[in-house]
Amino acid sequence: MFFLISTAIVLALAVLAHFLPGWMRPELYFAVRVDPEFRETEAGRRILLRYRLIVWAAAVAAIETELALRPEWVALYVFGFLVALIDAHRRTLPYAVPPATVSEVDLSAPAEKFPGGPIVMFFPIVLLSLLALWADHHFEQLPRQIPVHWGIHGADQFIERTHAGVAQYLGLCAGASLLFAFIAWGIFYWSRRVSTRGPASTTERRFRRRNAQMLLVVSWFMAVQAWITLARPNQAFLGPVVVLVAIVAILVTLIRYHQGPGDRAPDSCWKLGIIYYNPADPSMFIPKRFGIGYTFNFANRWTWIVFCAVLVPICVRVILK
Amino acid sequence: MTLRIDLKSSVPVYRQMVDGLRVLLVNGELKPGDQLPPVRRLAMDLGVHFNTVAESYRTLANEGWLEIARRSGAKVIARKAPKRGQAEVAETFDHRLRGLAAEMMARGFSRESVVRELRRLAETLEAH
Repeated sequence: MFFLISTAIVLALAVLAHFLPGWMRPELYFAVRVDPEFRETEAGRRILLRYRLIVWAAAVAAIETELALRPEWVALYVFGFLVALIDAHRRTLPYAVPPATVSEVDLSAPAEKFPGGPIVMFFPIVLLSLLALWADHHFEQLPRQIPVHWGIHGADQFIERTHAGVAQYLGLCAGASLLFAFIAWGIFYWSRRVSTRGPASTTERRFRRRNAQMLLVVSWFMAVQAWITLARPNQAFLGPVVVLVAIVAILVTLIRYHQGPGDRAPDSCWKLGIIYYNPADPSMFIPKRFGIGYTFNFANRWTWIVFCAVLVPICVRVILK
Repeated sequence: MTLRIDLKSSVPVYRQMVDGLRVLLVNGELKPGDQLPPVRRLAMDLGVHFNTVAESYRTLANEGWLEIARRSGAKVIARKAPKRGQAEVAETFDHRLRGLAAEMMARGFSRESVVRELRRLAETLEAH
């Protein structure tokens, strides 16, 4: 069973990586700004073929590693995918075209409103606060071991039923929920609009809105999952299943909606085609050049503040363990 | 109603922003009561520093075109007509216009196309 599930995951990821270059904006090829016709040229096709060969080789290697019952299969696949992407990016760079230096903004464009406003953004925190009160009143009804992590074999990490343990769990859910809500807000208010006029602007707006909505759904899910885990522990396994279905639904929806037009940043700001570092850009979020959704501007100090706020507690916890 | 800036131009971005917004204000495309985008929003969309946008808003506010409020941002206000332009000021603008025309020709535009552009500009001004 484990082998079937993990093989299905690797194959699904490989299929996704196989088709991903075709779903990207026509002016971008492996995160490099190129002539839209470049992908149809001999050089463009050769780069794509090489990328796909490396991706599938990584997938086969990952499946073989699984067969040997070694746990490195995920890391192996991710490594292979990154090698394929970086290699394709490097090979595309000589065909890059210079970025447009003219920026235009339509001053009459109506202001965009965050979907649902602050009520939708902070409702999960209200829900978790209510859950904390409920858990305090029904402490004896809570399961002795509360599942907090699920793997392919089911729940694999638990916390003991103590006041500190429950508080820690709810705090973790609140933190994760706030993080997703913050990223949704950031995509809306802290990212650059590439197009402010015409159909390209409509596509960009729609994609941004859908992204923010998806992240808000994940933020709400954190609170709902906490309720199920504490109040209905027998059905807690439903959570991870819902997450898997949600991830697929999110991917399909975002692919269908299309990413907005490309950014105007120089190619040199996209390190290895994945990491965006542009000190001249005041935005914190920017649409990915390869992949679906948004990524951080690592030259923005707030990116590092958010990363530290998330990573430092995790590191402290790991060290203390 | 578009604000356009060229990041590679020799004219500073701040100057381009002030000039571009002033054209929209003089032409009546931006009317009293119109709200300008917040400083952060415009800075991110243009890919320039927040201070550049804030400074250009302040310059236009000092000229009497905008009112800047901490919460509501920059709003276009009715501007009192300034006193009749003085002769030396007119001379300065004449000098700048000649300079611009010379720059266009230096960049390869024909004399005819420069004249055409200036005529088109004069017609636009007359229409308002």
